[in-house]
Amino acid sequence: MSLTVRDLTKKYGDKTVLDHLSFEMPESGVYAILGTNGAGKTTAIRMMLGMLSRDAGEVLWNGKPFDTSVCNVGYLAEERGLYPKYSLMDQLLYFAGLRGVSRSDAKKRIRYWADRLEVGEYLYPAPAVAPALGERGRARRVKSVPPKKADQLSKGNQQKIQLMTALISDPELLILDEPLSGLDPVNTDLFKSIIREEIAKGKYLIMSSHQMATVEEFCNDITILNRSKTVLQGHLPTIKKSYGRVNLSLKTEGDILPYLPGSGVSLVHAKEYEYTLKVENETCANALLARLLADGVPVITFDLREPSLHEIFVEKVGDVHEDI
Amino acid sequence: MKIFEEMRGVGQVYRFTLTQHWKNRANVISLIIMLVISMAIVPLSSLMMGGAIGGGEEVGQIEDDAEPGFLFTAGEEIITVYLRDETGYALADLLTPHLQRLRVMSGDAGVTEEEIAALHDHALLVHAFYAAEVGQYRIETYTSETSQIHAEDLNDLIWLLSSGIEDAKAETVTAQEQAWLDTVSLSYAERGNASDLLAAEDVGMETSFTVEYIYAILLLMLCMMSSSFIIRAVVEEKSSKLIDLLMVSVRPLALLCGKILAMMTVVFGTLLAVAAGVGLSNAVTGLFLDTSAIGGGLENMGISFSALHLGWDTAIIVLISLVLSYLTYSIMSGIAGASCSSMNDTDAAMMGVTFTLLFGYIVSCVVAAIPSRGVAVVTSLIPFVSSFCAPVHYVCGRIGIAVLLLSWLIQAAVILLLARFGAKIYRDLIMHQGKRLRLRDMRAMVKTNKGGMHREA
Repeated sequence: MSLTVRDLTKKYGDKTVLDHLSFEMPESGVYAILGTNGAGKTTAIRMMLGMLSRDAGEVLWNGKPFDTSVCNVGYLAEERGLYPKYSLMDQLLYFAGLRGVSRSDAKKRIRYWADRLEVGEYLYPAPAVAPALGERGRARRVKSVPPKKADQLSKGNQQKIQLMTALISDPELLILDEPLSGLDPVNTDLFKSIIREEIAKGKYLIMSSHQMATVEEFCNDITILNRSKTVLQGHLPTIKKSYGRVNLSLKTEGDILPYLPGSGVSLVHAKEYEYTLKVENETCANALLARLLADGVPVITFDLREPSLHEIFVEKVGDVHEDI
Repeated sequence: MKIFEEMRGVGQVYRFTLTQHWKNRANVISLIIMLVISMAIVPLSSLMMGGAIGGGEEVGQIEDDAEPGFLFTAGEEIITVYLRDETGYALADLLTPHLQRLRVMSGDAGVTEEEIAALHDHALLVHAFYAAEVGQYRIETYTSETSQIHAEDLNDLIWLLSSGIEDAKAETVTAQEQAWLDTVSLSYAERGNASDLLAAEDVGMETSFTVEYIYAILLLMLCMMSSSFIIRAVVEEKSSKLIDLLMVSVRPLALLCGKILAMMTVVFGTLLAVAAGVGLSNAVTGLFLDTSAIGGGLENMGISFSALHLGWDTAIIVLISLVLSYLTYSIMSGIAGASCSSMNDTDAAMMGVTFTLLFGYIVSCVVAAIPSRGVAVVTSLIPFVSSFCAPVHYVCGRIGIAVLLLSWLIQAAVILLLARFGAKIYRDLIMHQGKRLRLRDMRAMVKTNKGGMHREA
């Protein structure tokens, strides 16, 4: 299977909101679409899924035009929504039905995901308490507690239900738009573990997020959009490698600032004797280390690494902002 | 094949919408209230119009195929009937076999106050004439204030005279007139025989207005209820941010069609249940009360359904007309709902649909009071107004089946145009967030989105 997005373009009047976006996923994995607010990420996803009309471009799944009736897609939208007053179970069965899942299969899958995401109490009626005896020794009538409705759930729990709707059809292609936004650390870990499971199952994942650390954790390939245009694209480790190891974290037991002028190393941040530094290349970093050691400055930590995705993103988007 | 692809998932949307509608307690309670009212209307009307308790047997009524006996013999005294016949159909000959004492009055100057004042308690004055201003024959009866004449006898006499006039008119239409009727006028030709045509004249103003009013109110309620539901359902999905989630699995048109069909089931199911409730109530009430009093009471008000085209074919005609009207207004509602982004906009969206409905309703009520065939034909062909007018005009005999079919054809064309308009812009409308879009915005959308439906570059 493969996913190909070619020259996807969308205009509203004279304004271009997505300008010739192209990328390819020849095999399963995670692809990240990153960008500033309003860069065109959600528009790109909506166009891929056929929700918005395209002014140009095509989306192919296995070489054929992409259609949600051909490709089993799960989508966790950025704008999360549920029917506020309908039963959650009814909604999940409805969404499963729309994705072509039989009612019996849907019930099994709902049970699995309810346990996995720890939301069973909101989907199933709480078991009735054993009838207690009343004053005259008669058993009281006890009603079971009805399951909750969407507007009675916390934001995090609503998000879990929405993730269930995305996963209920066991999709081949899973599109997650800001999957971790608004989650507490415990639920973030829970979502991450589920994402890892889906990756391990060989699913195709497209992820859009502002949380660069999360993207870096999961993604192989990225596209960075800024103001509708692609400003950086490619295999993430390769991109990082192309920047070289330019980030240096240094912890010493003495002051190193006198060594920096003319060394090709610049200070980013310093706190006591812990330094964050930017180096022109690896040679400069190694030369600095050699000088420190030669002068007897005790070095506790020397960590030379590639730039983070966050830094690359800021650099790329910042460049374009400056150009404009 | 494209349309089938666009409709994928419509069954799921239909089932879900219908299930959730009936899971709402308010909707169930509304249905129960409507059923209770429908079942109470017959006994209450019977009691209010003087239906005697304890009798299901009709008293003093003349069966269609029965030979009527002498009238006005129920009391102790024989009633003298004075007849002023200005119809030219020799009504005296018709009445003679049924009356013991008949006096035919000469002259054609109508009835004077002196003549009415001269009536004693056992006398009845009947004036039959052609009312040119309304284009129909009228029968007026006068009695003294202390008259003991039975209402049933009076009804029987009027029935006898009106059916006599109808028969006499049919006989006087010559073969030449028949040929003229068949060829000159569209509405005449489709009728096939002259007696049907002339019978149309017998539908009185009161009857015509009542039928029009009842049908218009029914249609207005039906369309208002369904339009409000559809608009709210569409806006609820938009304001609850569900559209992205839904549109992965179902096309926008299927989303709308599922709702329209579900609401159609609710509305027509409710209508059927109410009709069944009235029928059942009528059958049960007949065991305990004289339900014929309702007919008598209505006739006393000048409302008679005997001259209407009523039958199974009428039921089918009304059903088709209701379905066409429902589809017209529900597609409008779907488009109006999709133009909103929040529940606050629903009232504004509903206003356009409400105005169109009220316009049709008011025109139909006004037209019911105008006994002109030309006006009836025109209003039966004007889109949106025809929903209210065409079936009633047909039932009252003001238009023929050809005009009715033409009216349906125009309504179907309007539905197709609305559907085509909706298909072109519905996806963009439903994805729109922000201030409510107006008609001019939608027209601009159509211009920039000529491909329609699932447009690809």
